[in-house]
Amino acid sequence: MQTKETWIDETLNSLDGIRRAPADPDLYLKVQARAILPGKTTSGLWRTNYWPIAAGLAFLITLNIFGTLYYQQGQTSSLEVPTAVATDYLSYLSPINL
Amino acid sequence: MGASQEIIKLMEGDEQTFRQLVDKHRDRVFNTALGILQHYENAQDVTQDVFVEVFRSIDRFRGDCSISTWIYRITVQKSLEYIRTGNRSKRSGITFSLFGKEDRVNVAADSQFYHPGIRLENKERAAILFHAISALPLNQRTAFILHKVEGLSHTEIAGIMENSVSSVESLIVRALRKLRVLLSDYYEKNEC
Repeated sequence: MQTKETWIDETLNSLDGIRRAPADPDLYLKVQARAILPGKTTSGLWRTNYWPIAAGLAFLITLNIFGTLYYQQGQTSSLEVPTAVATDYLSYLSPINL
Repeated sequence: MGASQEIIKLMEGDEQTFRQLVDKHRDRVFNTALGILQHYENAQDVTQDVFVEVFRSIDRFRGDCSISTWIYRITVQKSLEYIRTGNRSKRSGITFSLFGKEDRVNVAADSQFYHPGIRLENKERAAILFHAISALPLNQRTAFILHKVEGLSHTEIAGIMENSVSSVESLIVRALRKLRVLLSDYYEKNEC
């Protein structure tokens, strides 16, 4: 029968000649999905799509501002005409009423 | 490609270089995690975490050791973190008290762990040994696994654990002493 000490020694040596277990074959894809792709999406959007979109939006906003200002100016000048006519009309009528 | 050139390319976010790095170190990382955690799926999770961390923190690599040592260091940290946080996935089985209560130190292992790289004739003995290893304090467990499973020298282990060589030697001696006691108890209980 095997002695205790021999058994312990053999058990302690049972890892001798251990071979490496293979890692997950899809490891890179999983790491890529977690580490590389999220960053790439953000930076890619910034580099390729963001600037044209931002420029387009800025152009549209500027166009809107100028459009609104122009419209307001137009409104003011068109309002001045009936007011002037009304004033002229009232001043024309006022001597009769008096 | 030289080591420094590799690091520069990694810092630039070169995907091809990163892929090569993963291919080169994946089995080492996985087997170190597997040895410490003694759980296949948990070791796979940690392996992923390690490479995600490597990719994200390559800027913090100071170059005071080899990239291999740095990756081993992250692997050990992540594995121990996994044990300390109590196994997020709760995949580990309930461990029976094989070696008595006082030696059960945050056991993260399955009750019976069969390492796939063990020779068939050593399978049962290695499972008993791995169970005893899981009862070691974490620093002793780490040093022992790096030495016995990964076959690293005391100097290499000292670099990974950021300890002196004499401390590592002491850890391994204490681990062996404790394993002898645990295995002796097992032998007497089970009349091997």
